Amino acid sequence: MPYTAEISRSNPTCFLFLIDQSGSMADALGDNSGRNKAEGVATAVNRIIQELVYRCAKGEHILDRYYIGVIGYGDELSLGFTGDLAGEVLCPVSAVGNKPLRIENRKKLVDDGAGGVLEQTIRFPVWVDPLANGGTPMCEAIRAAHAVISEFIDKHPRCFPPIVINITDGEATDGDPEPLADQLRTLASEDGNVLMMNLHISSQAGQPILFPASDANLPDQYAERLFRMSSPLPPTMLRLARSSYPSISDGARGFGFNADMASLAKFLDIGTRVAANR
Amino acid sequence: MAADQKLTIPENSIQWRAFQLPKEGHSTEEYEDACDGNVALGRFAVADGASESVFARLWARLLVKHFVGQRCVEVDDWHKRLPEVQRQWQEELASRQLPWHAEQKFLDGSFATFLGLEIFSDDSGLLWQAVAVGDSCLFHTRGDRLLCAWPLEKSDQFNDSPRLIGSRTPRDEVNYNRALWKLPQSGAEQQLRLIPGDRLWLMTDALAQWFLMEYESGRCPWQQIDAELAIQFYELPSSEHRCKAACGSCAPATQTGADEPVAPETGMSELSTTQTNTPIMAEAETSTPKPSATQPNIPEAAAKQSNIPEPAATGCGAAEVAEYPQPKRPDDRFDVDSGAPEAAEDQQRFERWIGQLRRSGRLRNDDVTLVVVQIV
Repeated sequence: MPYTAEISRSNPTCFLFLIDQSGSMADALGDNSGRNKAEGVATAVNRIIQELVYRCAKGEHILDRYYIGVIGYGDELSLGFTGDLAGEVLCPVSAVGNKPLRIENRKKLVDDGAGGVLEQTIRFPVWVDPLANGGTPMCEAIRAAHAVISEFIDKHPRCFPPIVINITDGEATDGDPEPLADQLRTLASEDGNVLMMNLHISSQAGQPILFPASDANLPDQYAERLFRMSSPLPPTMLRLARSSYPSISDGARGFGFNADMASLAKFLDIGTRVAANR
Repeated sequence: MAADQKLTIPENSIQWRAFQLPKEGHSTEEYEDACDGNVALGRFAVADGASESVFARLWARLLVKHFVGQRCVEVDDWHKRLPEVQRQWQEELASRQLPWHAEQKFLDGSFATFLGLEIFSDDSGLLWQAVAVGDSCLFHTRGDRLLCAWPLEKSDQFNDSPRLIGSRTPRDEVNYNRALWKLPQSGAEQQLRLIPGDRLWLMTDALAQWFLMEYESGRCPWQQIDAELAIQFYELPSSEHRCKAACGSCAPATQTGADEPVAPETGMSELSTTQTNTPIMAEAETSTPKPSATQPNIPEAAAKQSNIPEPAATGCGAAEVAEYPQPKRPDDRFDVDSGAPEAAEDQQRFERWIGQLRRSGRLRNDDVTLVVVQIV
């Protein structure tokens, strides 16, 4: 059965983020937060990476069960992280976890257990800063991803299929990305085809949408196209997704609209789950 | 049974052996189960640390050590003493300078399933009782019969979200009523008797699920295990009492009294008459398959084997005892005294056999822990 390979140090998989850093990302988010889309994208990526690191944390150590990489696309294509992680596009998760650009203190509102909320300061590691410049060469980014993922699969032919997460406001300026995304998804390890997820960060207001099974309620043609470019969640991920999202439908795709996709990290089977009885 | 009614377990009436193996493709550092045993107190435990939580391995180890090491902790009240273990966990970690990813998860706490077994003695012989949270399982076998499967009794009862004990969960909020199972159930008159040759098998979820699937297919998985492993029980000198708490009620374990052999015939009738009151008990008398030499799926060795295991059947004579006189030999790989010398042949057979089961797809790839307790 596909998508059942063990994700382990001896058989790692990888996550590759494609990050829209084009000029249009300077526009405000649709959530009245006062933040712009570039900030929304950076926070989304940093949140998902955090969760991915958590999933490999063992005590004080991080086990290299996967690699994480970023490709930014805007003014130019930027391959890989910056700072201490600069170099290869894909870095082992231990290096990613141990070498963020910086760790910020951010405020978080938490339930105080008595009907109110408390402000708690949390340490928030940052790997990706907001950027907004130039056009949106999404096609070029997907081609670059194709090369990186091909090489990874050559090295790890039995791996759980790599997951590519494209975070964008949807408006490619270098052609139609859909056929390229189709090609990217035809790449496969012995365990199944590459999974492509798309997170649409928009200036439009509206309810966040996460893992829909149809494009019926999507707000525009860009969202619809990104939906089509997104892989259906394989049954193994769908099963785990249901513990966070019980109402998720069969055929749900790896697509989100103005949503927090950090829970994605929990859709991967890495040992006994902590859900009940916290 | 109240503590003051319990008698000291007769010396040399229990043997045990533990087997541990991490997930395929994982190293022993990633192994997050734990198990331990204490023959003098008749206590045995397994725990399965939830790998999504941080420091789960430490939490699982502290849970089993606390249970098997402390006579003062009554099985009935075990959950009320959990704050002691939670405190140990916190103290162990609080002093460390934690990286960001560990810090947040430290605040969330660690989680584990738990299964604790106590064998004790009364005027008529040996009995057992147990507590469990989650899907680590206990099986009581006698010869070719499975007398009890607990707390889960069907292979389809396993899922991704077992009940777990948290290292930070407040005591009055742990939903013990929902999460904690106890056998015999509180207030029940049921007694779980043991006779020589009986075995109690403690397993974490993957192997337990395999065990129940085999059983549901009409096979005797405990005899398969026996045939595959040829378990070598080593008689360890009684452990010293390891209670660290200054509880006052902890008298050191002694081996006085009850020199007479336990009365074997008392066991079966007690168990079979009470089992109908307890839905989670397997149908000991009626539905247990009777293996025969012609049954195709039972390994030949198992089929030929006597149904009632011989006490001290394999390699635990006086010579071996003399050869391995040290009671506490930390296992380098697992930091657990597994009841046998390192690199024991049966551990190697265990690793080979588990590997075969995994490759055949019959055993989920997960940490595997097996504790076998034999009544001599």
